[in-house]
This record gives sequence, C-alpha cells and structure tokens, in this order.
Amino acid sequence: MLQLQLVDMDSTIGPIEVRPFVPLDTEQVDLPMLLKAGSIVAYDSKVWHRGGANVGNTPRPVLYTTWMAADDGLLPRNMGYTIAHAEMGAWTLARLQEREGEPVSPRHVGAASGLQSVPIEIEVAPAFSVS
Amino acid sequence: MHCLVASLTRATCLQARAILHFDCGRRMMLPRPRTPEPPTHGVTSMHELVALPSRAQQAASLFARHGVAVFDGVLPADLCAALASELAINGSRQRDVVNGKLRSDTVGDPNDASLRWNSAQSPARGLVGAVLRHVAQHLGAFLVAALGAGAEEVQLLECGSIVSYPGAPAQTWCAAPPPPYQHALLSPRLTAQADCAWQACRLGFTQLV
Repeated sequence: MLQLQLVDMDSTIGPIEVRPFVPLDTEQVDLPMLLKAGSIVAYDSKVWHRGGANVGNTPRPVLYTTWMAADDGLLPRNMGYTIAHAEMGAWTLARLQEREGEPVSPRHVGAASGLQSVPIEIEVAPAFSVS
Repeated sequence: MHCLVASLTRATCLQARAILHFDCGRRMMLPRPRTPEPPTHGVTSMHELVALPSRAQQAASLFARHGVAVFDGVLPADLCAALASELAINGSRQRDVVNGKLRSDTVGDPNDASLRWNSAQSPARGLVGAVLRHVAQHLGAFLVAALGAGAEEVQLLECGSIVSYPGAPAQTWCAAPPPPYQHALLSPRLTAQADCAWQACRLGFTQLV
C-alpha cells in the first residue's frame, strides 16, 4: 500500500500510524507518520496500521493506492471498488510510466471541478474461483 | 455485507501456494510469496524508515525488513494542495449524504464519515492521474524491487481517498493476518455475516468457502 500525504501531517489531524516489523525480542512501537505534504508511506498490508484520531480543526485527506504483482493470474479481479470495474487490472505500472509527461488539464487544477461527488457503491462481488 | 467470499478449493489453494487474506478493507488478496527478510533491529523512529526513491533496492530491502518505507517529498506541493482541496470539498458534501456521523474510515462502510471514492478517481484522469504518474515515475523502481516483478506485472489494484474529519476517532488497528496461515471451512451462513467473517479472518482463518 502507498498512502500519499496530501497535507502536512501533525499529530492533531490523525496521521497514519504503523507498527513496523521488529525482531521477536524487541518491543513493537506505534509510529505516527508526521510527514510533509507530498510524502508517501509504503506499508505492507501485514503491518498493523490505522488512521489516528483527528482532534484538529481541519480534514485529513489522503490518497491511497494498492499495488500487487500479477502473480501468475491468481489475482482476483473483482475485489476493487475504488477503481471502475472496467479499469480493474488495466493499470500496470508500465502503463502509468508511459504516461509520464502528459499535462494535467487546467480544469483539473485549482478549482473544485475535477472530481465529482459520486454515490458510494458497495459492490458485493460474486464468489470467484481459481482453477 | 462488506466482505468478499472466495471459493477456492483446498487442493487448488495448496497447489498454487496461494494465500488468501483480508486486508483492512475486508478484501481478499493473493500476495505473491516473497522470501521473508527478518527485521534486524527495533524501529523507534519514523526517520529510520525514510528511504530514497533513487535507491530502489535499499528502499525495497528496508520495506522487506520492517514492512514500512517512507519517501519524503515525492509529490509536488501544488498538486497535493489541489487534490486535497477537491477531496475535502466533495467529501464534505458526501458526509451529509451518508449520515453525518463523525467516524473514522472503515473502508466502504456507508455509515462512515471517511469516504472512499469510486469512478471519480480513475487513474486516467485529472489530478489523480497526475499524482499517479508522479508515483510511477519516482517510486516505480521501488515497486518493482519490492514486489519482485516487472513493471508490466505490477498492477494498481486500488486508488482511493480517505478523508478523516475533525472529531473522527482513531481507527481500529488492522493488518492482514501474519503467517502461518490457516485454512478453515466456514459455512456460507457464516460468511454472510460480515463481522463474523471478518473476525474469523483476523484470527487467521483465511479460506472461506
């Protein structure tokens, strides 16, 4: 997982907290990620993690991405609901790298026009089989 | 019901050495088996986890040992500010639509104040697309090294946002179950109850049939 910090994270707005892997005889610690905007936290999904309490006065927006190797075709294609169904499996790292240098449309910068509110849809995927 | 139910046969699972687990979003993953790299020391500071994108192998090694790597200043500040503004504005609207509860993110829960989005965050478009291009450019080598696969094989599975509002409590700690993974046969009736299924997964029962 890559969590992208979009605002400066101080302890009041609830930054992501992680418990990194440590040797068995070592005490595990909770580490809040007090990072500047533009920083990225990469964490294994097996790492204990959570978003902290937001006791500040401003929202804490983050973008998160999940990456995985194709893994011999075993990857379930029906698990995502943050990417449009038609785009599931379509975005490889190589494809994104090919798009480097493409300009961002001006209409997407600054004004609140780039993203539209959409209803939350909880898609219950049918059982899938691997065979 | 917020969990997805798999129907893997035990034989297939063993043969493929596939491990199912639920991540914090109660979604299943089949992680590529990787050679574990035991942690060498206890981490006591975030700064011990800072890595340089330009040193992908070192970053991947750090990530393999401790499960976390931090990259400082990857994204342009203006791009972050623009996207943060978009998310806060639209997320605030959606909070009212949901029910206004100030709760922290529980991934896709319609009663949640921290929201994840769907088609608005296509990698192909807008600010999100621009951010992802930066990620691919600067952290692509790290992802390749960390996942042990070529860029053609590394896939973006999720791209979502979380907005945590003032007053939101801390989330529950969550993580995918650590190995050794166990397999259990759970009845369809049980899997229909998301909480039960989730708890079962938290305990390490990773195969639901």
